[in-house]
Amino acid sequence: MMHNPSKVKQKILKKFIMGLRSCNSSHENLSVSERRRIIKLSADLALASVRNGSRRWSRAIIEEASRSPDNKGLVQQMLGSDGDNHLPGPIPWEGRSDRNGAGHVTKSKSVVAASSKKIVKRCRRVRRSNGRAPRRNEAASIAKRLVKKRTQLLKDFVPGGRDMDDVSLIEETLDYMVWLRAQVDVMRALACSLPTTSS
Amino acid sequence: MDEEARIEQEKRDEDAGNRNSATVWLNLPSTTMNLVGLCNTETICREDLLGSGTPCSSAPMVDSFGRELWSRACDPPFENFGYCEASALNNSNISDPSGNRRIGPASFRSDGGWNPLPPMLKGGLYALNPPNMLPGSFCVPQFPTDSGFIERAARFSCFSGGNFGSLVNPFSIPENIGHYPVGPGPMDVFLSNCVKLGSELNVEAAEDVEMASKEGTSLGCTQENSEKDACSVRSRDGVEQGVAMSSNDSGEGESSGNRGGQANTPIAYNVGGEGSSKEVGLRKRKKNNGKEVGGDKNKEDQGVANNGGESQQKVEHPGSTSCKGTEKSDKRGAQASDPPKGDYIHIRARRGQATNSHSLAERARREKISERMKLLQDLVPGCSKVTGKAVMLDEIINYVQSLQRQVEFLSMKLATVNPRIDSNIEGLLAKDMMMPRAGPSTLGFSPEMTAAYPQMHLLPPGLVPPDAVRRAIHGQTASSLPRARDHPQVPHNWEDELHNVVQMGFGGGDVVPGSLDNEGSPQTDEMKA
Repeated sequence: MMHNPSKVKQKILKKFIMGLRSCNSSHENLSVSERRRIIKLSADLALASVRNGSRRWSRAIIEEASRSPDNKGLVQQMLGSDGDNHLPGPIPWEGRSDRNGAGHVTKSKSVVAASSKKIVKRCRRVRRSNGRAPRRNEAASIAKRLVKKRTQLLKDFVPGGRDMDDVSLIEETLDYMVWLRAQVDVMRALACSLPTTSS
Repeated sequence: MDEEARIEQEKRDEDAGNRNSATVWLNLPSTTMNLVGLCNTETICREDLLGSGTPCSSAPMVDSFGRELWSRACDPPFENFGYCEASALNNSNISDPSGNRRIGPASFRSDGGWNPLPPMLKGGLYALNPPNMLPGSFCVPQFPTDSGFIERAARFSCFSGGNFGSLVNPFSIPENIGHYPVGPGPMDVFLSNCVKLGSELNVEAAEDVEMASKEGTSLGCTQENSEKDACSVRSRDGVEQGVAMSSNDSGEGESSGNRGGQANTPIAYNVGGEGSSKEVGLRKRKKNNGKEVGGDKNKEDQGVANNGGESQQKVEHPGSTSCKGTEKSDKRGAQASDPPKGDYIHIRARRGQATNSHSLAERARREKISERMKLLQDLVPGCSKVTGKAVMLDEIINYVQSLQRQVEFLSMKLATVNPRIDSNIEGLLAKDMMMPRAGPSTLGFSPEMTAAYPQMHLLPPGLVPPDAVRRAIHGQTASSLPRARDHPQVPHNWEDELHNVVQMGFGGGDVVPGSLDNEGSPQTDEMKA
């Protein structure tokens, strides 16, 4: 939690600079886009590491970053000392380190529960809707569809949000938004403080 | 305005709770409460405080009375309350000045119209930031223990949740707790209590502040009386609030519960949070308040107050708290038979709603989601007036998208600069210290997440941060923003923000040592902006 926003931002900044330093030293002749990717990656990792993996999105970021071999070095450097913090005990799927694409990791209990709940609901809904006349609250169903669509969208945006149920998704989004904002502030401050001449 | 939004939200929640069919956020009833009706709400609040039974039955009189009370809310509110107390000794219902609802426990309950009141009060209180709220001279009125009043009081008191941080010390005034929902002391106590309760009730992850606060919110909503349970159904995840709870309530149960659950994070959440968090706190308070009023008396109030004081001290310690399902019972106002502290909350079926376990769980889930959506609403700038899940989700998605785009943009910018930041961390950090612009705007958002926030650094709530963020966002990604409607505001706001950022950047530029350079081109000269 952000006990003190400026302190948190300083932490993020520190980590970020650490990451930048390491990638600066190792990747000297990269293209701009590659550099951008690395910078973004280290920014994300800095954010996630400061968040310390107590939130699913931070863990998801780290997971995803560790998946590709290119980033491994950076990940280790940034999270090296407190790499253990990101694998808290209570999260069963963390230890399994599944890398089955697209951020999907072995589902945790809640995830399984959520998906099974959804399946059951879907079956129930299908059965129910078969014998139903056009319901009078059609607006409700339209609204539901909209909400579902947007929830799906949101899941794509929030890292690690794919396997979460609605409730925790919103919580993750809440948390993620705040910290993302902090990340943006840090990066903007950094970018503004540095000379703006292009290389 | 935020208060308006909150009021509307409250009202919507209440109405949503009363609906039988699936809650459709789009079909929210239009609220008759707006800022113009502030006086009305104040009046209503005052009426509530008066036990909803003031002899002054004329609306205009009540209005003026309320207004007068409101205007003096910050300063010595106790005098006002004393006045209220003197004038209101009966339980007679008075006509609703706003013409919407009758002030009275039963009518209030079915109405839910008073919901907006707490947000308004909260907003007002918060804005006023009355540190001197609790002089010892406050006379505790003997408010009737009707559920409506209790609920209102609790809600109202919860508003000060926002002020919790700044009002830590004055809060431990025990005698006010039970009867004076407005004071920061009782509110804090209640808030802490509620928070504890909330966190306890949180079966899933009690560590989260927000979770805890939300828990408290749902708890706070529960009313002593059955009808009001509708709103209380914002129960926690997977918990059901038992009717049995009602039998348990008593000040004692509450106190013990409070003592048991030193929940800490939720308070921080409420403290830091503006809008929704305040509401949360208000609801929590309400719950405790209800319990206090319904039950007994100063003794318990003292006990609770003490607990509140303690809990306040411990607010900063984030920690999971045991679930306390018994708190709700306190609201009943009945004698406390210390309920077993289970891990689940009993949900009471609302009037006219199915009592199927599935629907109960579904309703609980929906309540949870709606709570969180409200919190999100406060985070996302410019969403105070947005109603409906779909629209809200849309805004959230846009916001997250824009933030991510900003990150990309900034990383691209940094990539082009590509400084060799070999040894400038200290300098950059020093510059970071001088981030006054970004700080407040971020603060506006982070408070919700603040587990331990001893002081209220919040700016005039809600208004500055969202604007700043919007400005920042627009400034950075004006071209890619999907929100066309915000563009009219962009020109003059964007320049301000940009100016601020540039100032900050330049201010930091001096600090950065001249060793910074791009590849092959020392930039020391240009750095001295």
